[in-house]
Amino acid sequence: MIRKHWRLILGILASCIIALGIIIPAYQWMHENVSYARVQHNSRMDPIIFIPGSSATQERFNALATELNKGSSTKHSLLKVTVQENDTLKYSGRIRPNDTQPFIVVAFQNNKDGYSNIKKQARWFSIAMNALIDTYQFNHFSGVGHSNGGLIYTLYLEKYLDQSDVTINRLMTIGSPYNFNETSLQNHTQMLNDFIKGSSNLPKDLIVYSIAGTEDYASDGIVPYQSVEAGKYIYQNKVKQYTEITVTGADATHSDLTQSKQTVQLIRQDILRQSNKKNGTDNNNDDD
Amino acid sequence: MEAVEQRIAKWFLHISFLLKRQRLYRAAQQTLVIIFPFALVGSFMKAIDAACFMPDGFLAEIYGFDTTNTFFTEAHSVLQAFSNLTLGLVAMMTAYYASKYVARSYQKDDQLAGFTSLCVFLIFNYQLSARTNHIRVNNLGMRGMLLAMITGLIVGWLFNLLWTKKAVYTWERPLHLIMERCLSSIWAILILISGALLINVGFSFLTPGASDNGGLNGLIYMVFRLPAHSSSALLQILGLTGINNFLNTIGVEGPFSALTPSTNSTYDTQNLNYALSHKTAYNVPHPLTLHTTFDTFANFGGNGMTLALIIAILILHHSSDQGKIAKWSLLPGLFNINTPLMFGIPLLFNPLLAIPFIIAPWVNILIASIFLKLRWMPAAIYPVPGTTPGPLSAFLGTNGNWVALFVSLLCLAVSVLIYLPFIKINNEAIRLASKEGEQK
Repeated sequence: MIRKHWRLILGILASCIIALGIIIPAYQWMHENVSYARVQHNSRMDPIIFIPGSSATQERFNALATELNKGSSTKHSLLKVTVQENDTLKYSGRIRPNDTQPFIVVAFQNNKDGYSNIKKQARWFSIAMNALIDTYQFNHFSGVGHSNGGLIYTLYLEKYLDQSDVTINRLMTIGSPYNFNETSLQNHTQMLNDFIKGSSNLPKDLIVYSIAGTEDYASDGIVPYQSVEAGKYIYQNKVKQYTEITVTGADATHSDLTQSKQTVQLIRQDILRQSNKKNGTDNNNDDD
Repeated sequence: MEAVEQRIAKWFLHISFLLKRQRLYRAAQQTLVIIFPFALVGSFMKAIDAACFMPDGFLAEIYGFDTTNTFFTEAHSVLQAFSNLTLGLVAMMTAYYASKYVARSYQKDDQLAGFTSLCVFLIFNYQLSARTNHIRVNNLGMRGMLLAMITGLIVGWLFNLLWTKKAVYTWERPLHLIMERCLSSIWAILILISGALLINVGFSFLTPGASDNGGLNGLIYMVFRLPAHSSSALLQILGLTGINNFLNTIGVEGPFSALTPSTNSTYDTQNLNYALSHKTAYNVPHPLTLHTTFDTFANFGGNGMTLALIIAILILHHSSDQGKIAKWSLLPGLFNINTPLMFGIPLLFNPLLAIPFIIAPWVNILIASIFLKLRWMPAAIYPVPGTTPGPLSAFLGTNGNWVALFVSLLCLAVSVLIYLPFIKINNEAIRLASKEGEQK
């Protein structure tokens, strides 16, 4: 049998090897090509979307925005959106034409604390995001969440983000209490457990920075240091990069964290960086 | 049911048998087959060149060859010269051989008839202008096949009318016989060539274009001009591709070919933009375009799904001469060059095989459209090189979708099934015609 058909068998084997030798590199080449094309294509508008913490309004980041625009040649415009309890949106401010990296603040009429409210706020945030994507036609963005804003972001990324629709490049959470007021890493709150459970849904290409402020050695005055640190259980090894940064000094208390010189510098460095590469001159006075 | 099929088959057989008995038709077929070796080696070099040494060649891309370095550019120019001087001259050869075979069938001097026809063909492609006198070189290859074949057949036939003496074939051919032949052919040659010049002068007024689009050949292309814009309506796609492939079978190059995928239309650009920003190729705005259907699923091995033709021949006539031609044509066929088959089988001026040549791509377009419309597979919107092996082009064009690969293989299998009966009938007709030839 084998002797009779050895030529045929040899021919089939050889063609299989040749076929694999073509298909595998071709497949890899195509993948590289497509992701390169996506990067090129995605280089238009990438807004930075801010979520304030509990009890804060859409005006929460005004000072930070002014600070970020200081000394930079291109000003980022500021759009503020508040999601009403009846799922409607109220806008103020506007995005200047040709602004490739505008700031957008999404706040909530119901801005109360608590896990059940965070769940509601994450849903409201997804409503706002869909409306923003439809209006401004962007397909990638970066996020900054202060305090509970970081928790809303986490829930949004795990539960609502449609990764085929829009990509999040970088996320910075500032003093976000992933374990609420727990001071021990051993005790997981219900929310933290839910976050860990859903962490496999996080985008694999995301880069996350978690900033912890410290007034003393234990907390920023409100959020325990360990609660911020608990973010590692959610993000570490689930996203591309997870960096924890501790900020100390005069403005390192919980509510001042957003205006702290160090935070401003970190946002410039880590969140705005992409636009520096593109435009060369803007925002790089404080870099490196 | 089977009786109907057999009756149709018989009817086809009868027609192609009758055709193959026709003097002119036979001469045309002989001409094409004799040119096959030139078309084959030229296609080999063209395939290697296009796949490995051109910047957008398939192998060059996937293996990351640096096609800008000296070795590659030099190799490219050598290979290009090789294919230009073989594939690029097939129309010239056709003009010569067609006339030669017609003259031979009347037992007239075939060499003189052949050369006269070659001169006439070159005159037709001679650009008359006050400043430059040159031959439109582009028309001497596949682009000029229709004009070359018509010229050859008509000149051969006129040669017979104008020159009544029969050629005497002795292998020694004494000099005085050759002299006699030459002297008696002077009038025929004079009349034919001056007639050709007059026609050329006449047409150069009609088509004053200074470019390759002018002249008699340009006129043919003006008549057969197709709207080269892409379309997203299924009927329009079927119509355009059907005409395009029909033109291919009569030696006219249509606007759509496997080597130059039509990815630049507005529709395809919109599709690509959508897929890049949404990271999915499922819900693109125009799922049906010439590129997502015809280029991707109906062009394996070159226009007319000729890869399926090769497979069909290899299944039926593994060791015959046709089988050998099919084997030789496999390598260029993998890189979507079907020129060897156009001459070797031959597909050119072959009304029987023109049917599957047009129908198989249609069926594939329909299969692909069904899968696309039902969203069972994403549209192949990412551009791939023209030399991508046909069955892979959908898989790669969708960035590695397995359903697309499956549909490609399905299309290939269906096309093989479409080609099989026609190959059978074609072979039977050849056999019958040659039997009759032997009996004579």
